Amino acid sequence: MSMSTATRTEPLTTSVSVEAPTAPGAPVQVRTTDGLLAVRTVRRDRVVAEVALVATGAVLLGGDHVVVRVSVADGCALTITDVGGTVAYDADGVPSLWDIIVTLGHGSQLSWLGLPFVVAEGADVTRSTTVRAEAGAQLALRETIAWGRAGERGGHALLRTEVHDARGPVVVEEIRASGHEQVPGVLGAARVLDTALVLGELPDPGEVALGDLCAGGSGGTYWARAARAALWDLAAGAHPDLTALRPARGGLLLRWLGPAAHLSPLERALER
Amino acid sequence: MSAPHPFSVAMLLADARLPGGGHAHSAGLEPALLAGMAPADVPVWLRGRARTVSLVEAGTAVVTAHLLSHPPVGTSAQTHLSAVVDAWAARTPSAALREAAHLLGRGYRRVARSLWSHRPPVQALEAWTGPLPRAVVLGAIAAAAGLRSEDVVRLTVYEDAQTAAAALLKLEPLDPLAPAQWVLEACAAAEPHVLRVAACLTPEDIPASGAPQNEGWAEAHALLTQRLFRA
Repeated sequence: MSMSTATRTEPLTTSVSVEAPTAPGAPVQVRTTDGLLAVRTVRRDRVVAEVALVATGAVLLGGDHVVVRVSVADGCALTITDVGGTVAYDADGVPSLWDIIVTLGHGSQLSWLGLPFVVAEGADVTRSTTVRAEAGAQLALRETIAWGRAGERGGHALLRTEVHDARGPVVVEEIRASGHEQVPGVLGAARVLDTALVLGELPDPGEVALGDLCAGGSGGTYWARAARAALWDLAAGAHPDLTALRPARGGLLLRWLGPAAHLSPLERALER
Repeated sequence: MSAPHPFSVAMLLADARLPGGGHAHSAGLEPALLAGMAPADVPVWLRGRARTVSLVEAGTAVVTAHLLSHPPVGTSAQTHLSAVVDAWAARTPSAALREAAHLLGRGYRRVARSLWSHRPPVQALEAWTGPLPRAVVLGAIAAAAGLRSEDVVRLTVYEDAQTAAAALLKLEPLDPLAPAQWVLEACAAAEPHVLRVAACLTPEDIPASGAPQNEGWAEAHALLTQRLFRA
């Protein structure tokens, strides 16, 4: 399948921004812009908003440039859920871009446990995740990258992660991998790279969690505190092929390399 | 006394007979083999390192050398060191690998202090109280001895590959000349990147090319009691 004749080149930005209520007792404000992904506000209250990201058409095609901007103001909390996984389709090698830009205010919280991003045969994706976090911001961010759909080896991906807090860089990393070149030490024979990034230490059991104040009837929505607690618990255990990295600046980078996303211990730990 | 040619200094630094502490390290090889990597995969693994983690180390050394040789007006050497160390640490999320690099840095600091104590780039290290990774110390030596940036990159890649190759001979029986060939192949794999990395000027420029499987192996290896090498 060739996509090289009809490619989109302009970046199409999806944005969601959570801001403080305008009046005491009022819900947080959620401002959104739809791009190749649309934002559906699921619910909101005095401190927390929950939104779902939905693809508006076939993404990701060769030449597509998806930008997702997320901003959470001081003291606010946001949970993002993906409605479906994403496939970067065969584009005969035409590059595509997927940029996530997150800005977290003082004491804000973001939980985004994303669904798998599949790099199909013939795709050439550059995916970047950039986080700027102010002091006290808490984050649970899961990114699962899979090379190839069933029966495929998968295309090329360049994955860039850059996380800064108020003092400087926390994690800066670039991983380049192709389904057609197994490099031991990089991904080896693994087809899936499952990563969870946590900012903020293990929650104290007595910590008043923003999400808990208003989680009644949420149907098990994972708020940042619960996700962070589950991930810190996972880091403390022993799971084959799961690596718990502790960046010098604090936080946690959990990583699993394996043959299929559903086998990841992250999947079980974060089961809703 | 006239100064030695930078090429002579590069040879000294690459020579395993220099007592810098490198003999206790396998540049990730023992962790890889203990985790189950097949010895037959060593050549492709070495080439992978040369294009990823070695370039992070090389870029760190290049930027350190640049900042200690050409300090912009109004900022202290300590401010520069701090920025480079932070950039390197953010690119080295594995605590086991940071610790191994700090141990190597300690050995290199002794070398630097003995041989270039009168040079300002090495004196800048003396004022630093915390641990320093080897790449930062190498950068200070490079600035003190006038090494070209390209050669700092090549030296870093070669040293990493040769450290692993020497360790391999202690861990697996094989023709001792086979790993020498693989070292040269690793150097060749890095060559297309040498000029780009040599041109790095600021901590932000330092490559961030990661190798997640190596990090996992290093973390697991750090917990073992029965091992020949530190890392």
